[in-house]
Amino acid sequence: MKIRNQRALAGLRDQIRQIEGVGEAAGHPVLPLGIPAIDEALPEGGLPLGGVHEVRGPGAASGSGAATGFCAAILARLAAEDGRPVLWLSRGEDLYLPGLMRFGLRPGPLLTVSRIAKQADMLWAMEEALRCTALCAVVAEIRQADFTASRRVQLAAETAGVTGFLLSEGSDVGASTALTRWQVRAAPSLPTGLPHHGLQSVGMPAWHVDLLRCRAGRPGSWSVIWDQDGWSALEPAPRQAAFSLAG
Amino acid sequence: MKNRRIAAVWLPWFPAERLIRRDKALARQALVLIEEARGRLVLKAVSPRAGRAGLRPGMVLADARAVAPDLETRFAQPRADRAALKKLAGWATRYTPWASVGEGHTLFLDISGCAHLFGGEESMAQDMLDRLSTFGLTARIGIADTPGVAWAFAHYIDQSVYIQPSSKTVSDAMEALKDLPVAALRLSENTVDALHGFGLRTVGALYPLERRALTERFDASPVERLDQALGVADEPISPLQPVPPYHARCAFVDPIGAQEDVEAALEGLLETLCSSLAKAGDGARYLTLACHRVDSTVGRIGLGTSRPSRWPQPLFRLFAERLDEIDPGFGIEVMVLAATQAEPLKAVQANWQQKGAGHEDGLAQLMDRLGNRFGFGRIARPRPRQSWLPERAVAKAAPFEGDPEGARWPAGRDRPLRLLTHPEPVEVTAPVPDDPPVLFRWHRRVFRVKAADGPERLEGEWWLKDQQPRDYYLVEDEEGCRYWLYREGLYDPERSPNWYLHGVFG
Repeated sequence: MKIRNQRALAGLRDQIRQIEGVGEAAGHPVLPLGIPAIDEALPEGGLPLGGVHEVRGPGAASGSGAATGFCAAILARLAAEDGRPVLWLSRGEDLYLPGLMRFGLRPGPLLTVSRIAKQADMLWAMEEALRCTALCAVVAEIRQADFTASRRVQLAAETAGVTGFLLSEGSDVGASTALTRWQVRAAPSLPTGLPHHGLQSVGMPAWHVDLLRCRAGRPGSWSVIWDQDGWSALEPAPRQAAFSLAG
Repeated sequence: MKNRRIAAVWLPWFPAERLIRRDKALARQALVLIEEARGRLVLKAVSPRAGRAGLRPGMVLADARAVAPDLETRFAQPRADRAALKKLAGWATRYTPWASVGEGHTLFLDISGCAHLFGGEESMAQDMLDRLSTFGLTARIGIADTPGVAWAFAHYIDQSVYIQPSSKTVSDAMEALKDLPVAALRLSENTVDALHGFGLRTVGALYPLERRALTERFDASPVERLDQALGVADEPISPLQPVPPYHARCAFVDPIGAQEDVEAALEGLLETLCSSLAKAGDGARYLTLACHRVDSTVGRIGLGTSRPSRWPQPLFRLFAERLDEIDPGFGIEVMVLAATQAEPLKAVQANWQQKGAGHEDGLAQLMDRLGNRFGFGRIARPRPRQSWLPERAVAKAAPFEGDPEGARWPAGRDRPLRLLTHPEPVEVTAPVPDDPPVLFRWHRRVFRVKAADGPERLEGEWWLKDQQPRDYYLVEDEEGCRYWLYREGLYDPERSPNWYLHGVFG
């Protein structure tokens, strides 16, 4: 769909909302990610708030470093804009604050609950937290999101307007009611300087970010790189992934 | 004289009745409990039936058999008796939190200011007698201003309930005690015998004597006990369980069992408790709910809060989630809600930089729910701490404790997003000892290193002993995943070093 058509559609939606008298004309609040290439693919120029997003980090033997970093970066933006605290529900006890700070997440607004081993407990906690308007976002680390679970947390998130992130390791793509589904994998960093003893020095973190699903948005793939000024899309997106999804 | 009212509940047949309660068949026989004393078997306690047959504690068993040939004998179990009596004192907290075990199978209850809840001292005592009799226990109750006088009345006035009106002066108390035997002062047998030897048989006979002479001739106990009885010397009732600073109770004429009734009662209790907390400017940190059932068992729920709270609604929701833990059984007669830990509410200041003050309460309630399900220890507000050891570089503050902003640590160094709680050993291939590895094996998978940074040598603070220095390397594999590896210890050509994986980067 062309961007122009999207805008037209958004305008029509606004009109319908006004006629129905539901919500504000401004529509759903969104959080621009600050990467123009990605924001363009998202409805209304940013990540829709007050709903649940899935972030998967498949492939890494060691859990999902890149996906965790992606969540941390979004939370950091959200917390900085919103001011309310964020809650991170963790399966283990390995979430490490100095690493999160690297992606802009300040310790001030961060609350953690660790060692929630059972998925049922995790989803219960997430549902409870999403109903708490004192928070701006909740992250839950789960193994695999199933349809019922995602619908329940989505409902809770919509009711209170709190944004939720389901951070999973699974690569299976099941049905889901989440607003978006992301897949984030590590990418080799760009070489910096000369090799030493045959080994490169480690460059800035780089990720393959795939937007696999997005209500009212456009799926796509991007290479994202982190430097001193934050993140940015590296190059014109390699579109193969998007095309293959389109069939 | 302090304005106190004490009930002494004497259970004259307690050890025997305790056994009969467990084995009803024993009630049909004359039961005596025996112990060995000076090489002979002596009666330690008797059942009511044996008592009616003329048997008394202290008799030799052989003599007792002559009086009542069909005796049923058991060995006395003073320890078990004591434990059962303590349990009974726990039951008695339904009347007052100040309940303790006194001498000679007696419970002391400090009922100051409690009796009106039961329609006065008379009907409170009657209520105790009725309930104790459903347990198969016979009791005699004395109520007076001091434990000493109450005890004396319970033991030495042959009435099931004897209430001495509150007296204002010491001479009133002296008058009330004067005709009772000296043993009514809770003295040891030897002291009683010695007093008898001097012809001192009643408490009144001690009044004219000089205190010094009494103390010198006997021991300090008669004077002490007399002072305690007269209220000149203080004798506090030390409760078995610490008395909570705030509590509310609610008794039901008809025992309740339905969930709605329990919830309604709980709501009422929370209202009462919270209003008394509010009056004192305190908030509860830990609350217990005790449900006394008809069969004298008690079901308890305890729960904590992340910060002092005195709002009935959120506290109610916390309890409501766990009410199903309490089985009403045949019905709940009394519910007691207590704040066993309370803190001043104003002293707490949270530092969330946010717009509405209402948010904070919502957050506290969420923390309470999570804390009560998972444990408050798992909720943290991580903050940087200045330590070179990565595992010590994060402090976990409670959700509403202080402001973690400020400390910047570790400044400008790359740290992993996930730090393993226990570093995991890895097999490493490094061509040159001090160089980063070119390949490592972890979880039976081989990782080829494409890029590496390091080493960064980290050592524990000097006061942490037995800490080997570690050389950390940030390595990146072919896929771009980044890991934090370290080599333990200084380079030693004699042995191959140990390598560990400590974290994963984003």
